[in-house]
Amino acid sequence: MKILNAAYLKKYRLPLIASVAVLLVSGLILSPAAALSGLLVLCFWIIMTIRSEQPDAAFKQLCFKNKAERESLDNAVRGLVLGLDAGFTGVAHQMRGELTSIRNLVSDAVKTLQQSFEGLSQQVNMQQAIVNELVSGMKGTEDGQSNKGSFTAFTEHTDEVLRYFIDYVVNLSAGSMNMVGQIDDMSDRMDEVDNLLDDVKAIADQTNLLALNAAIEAARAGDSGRGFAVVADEVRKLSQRSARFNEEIRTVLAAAQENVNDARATVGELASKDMNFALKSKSRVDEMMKHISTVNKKTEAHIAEISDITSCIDSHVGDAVRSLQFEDIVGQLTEFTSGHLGCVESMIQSIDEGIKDLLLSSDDGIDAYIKGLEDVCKRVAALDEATRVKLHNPVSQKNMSEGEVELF
Amino acid sequence: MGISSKFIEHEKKLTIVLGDRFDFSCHSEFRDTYCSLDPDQLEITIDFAKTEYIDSAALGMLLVLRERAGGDGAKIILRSCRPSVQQIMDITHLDRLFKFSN
Repeated sequence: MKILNAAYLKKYRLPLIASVAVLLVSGLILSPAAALSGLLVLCFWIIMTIRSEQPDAAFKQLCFKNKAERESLDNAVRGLVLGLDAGFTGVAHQMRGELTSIRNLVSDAVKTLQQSFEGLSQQVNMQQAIVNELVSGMKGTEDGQSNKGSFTAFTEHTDEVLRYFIDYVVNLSAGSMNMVGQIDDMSDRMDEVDNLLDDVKAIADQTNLLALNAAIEAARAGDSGRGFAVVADEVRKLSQRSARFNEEIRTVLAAAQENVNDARATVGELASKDMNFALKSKSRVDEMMKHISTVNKKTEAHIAEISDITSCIDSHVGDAVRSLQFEDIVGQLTEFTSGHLGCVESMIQSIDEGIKDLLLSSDDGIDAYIKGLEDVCKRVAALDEATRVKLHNPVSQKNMSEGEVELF
Repeated sequence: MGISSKFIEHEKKLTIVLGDRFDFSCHSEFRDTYCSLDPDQLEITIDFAKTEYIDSAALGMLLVLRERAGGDGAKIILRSCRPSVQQIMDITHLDRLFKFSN
């Protein structure tokens, strides 16, 4: 038997190696049925090429009239199947191991990711709460309790005090000006009294003069006028006293006038305040109010931004956590792949049995041999159909953003 | 410096023109412009065009005049206030008690 001799293998080694590689890869990527079908096609191709290698004249001699040739072919086919079987069993075992470690790795990583995302979400919410607290503490008006220490309240209070003070100064000035008017009136009255005192002085002077005349007349009358002279003297004394009184009153009045003028000056000094202090203070308070309002607006805008960012992070975390469900999908897929591996194993077994039957058959015809191989092919196809029905892929989605997951 | 006034009797209109400073030193002069009249019967215009400085006494004088001219019913117009004067009127809320004109 020289069918699978060294020359043949040497001639077709590249296509053979490529085919086996393609088969293994397709078995892993596509369905095992495809791989097995390919395998059978490969076998078929080997036989056909061997047949075509022989010259037509020698063809008739290959109809297994020669027992040795039949045995060689049998051995070769058996060797191929056994080799495939052994190789595949090893690969399948390795694949199972790899699938298990994939599942474990993914599961562990997903658990860690889930924990860290939950932690992230919690921390972000805590951060938001702290910011809110900070802001309400700063504004101090929202809860209505702690507004004594707040900036706004302080400024409002300052404004109130300033307002009160300005009103006070203005009212005081009005009252003082009223008082100054009254003092001026009083001063005028005193001037009038002074004028009246002039009249009194004139009367006193006149009386004095009169008394003097009376004394002269009394002296001229001699003894009989002596009594009258005494009266005239008394009258003169009275007029002099009156004039003295007049002077005293005038002095007191002048002092009073001076006092009144002092009072007027004092009141005037009290009432005359430069109002620029109010202007300056007021503008300072207004500036502060404006500043606070700007700061408040900015703070509010920033808080809104932070809230937006927080909800954004929340939604991202939600997306991430949702995406972590791929662990389940991967789990199902690996299980599914294990199932497929099992199928491939049973197919290999089926091929094994089919080839065994073929090898046991005593029919020497090449056609019968080919028919036997076709039977094996059919058995494998039937098995493939059966597994297709049995192992329905539970995961329809191709990526994480679409598709549905059946409830397992 | 100095206050001048013009009284149109048949129209019952009194115009007081103030100097560059309106403060306590102007008290007597200011008071004399209306003291001999019946302010509550008059329409009084006070011209601030020349006035650069007023103090609290000036505000007091205005308020006293307002009181004399009938309080809330007084007809007093403050004319041509400069910004610095107007600011003081605004801050002291006198802008609510008087009418202003240019």
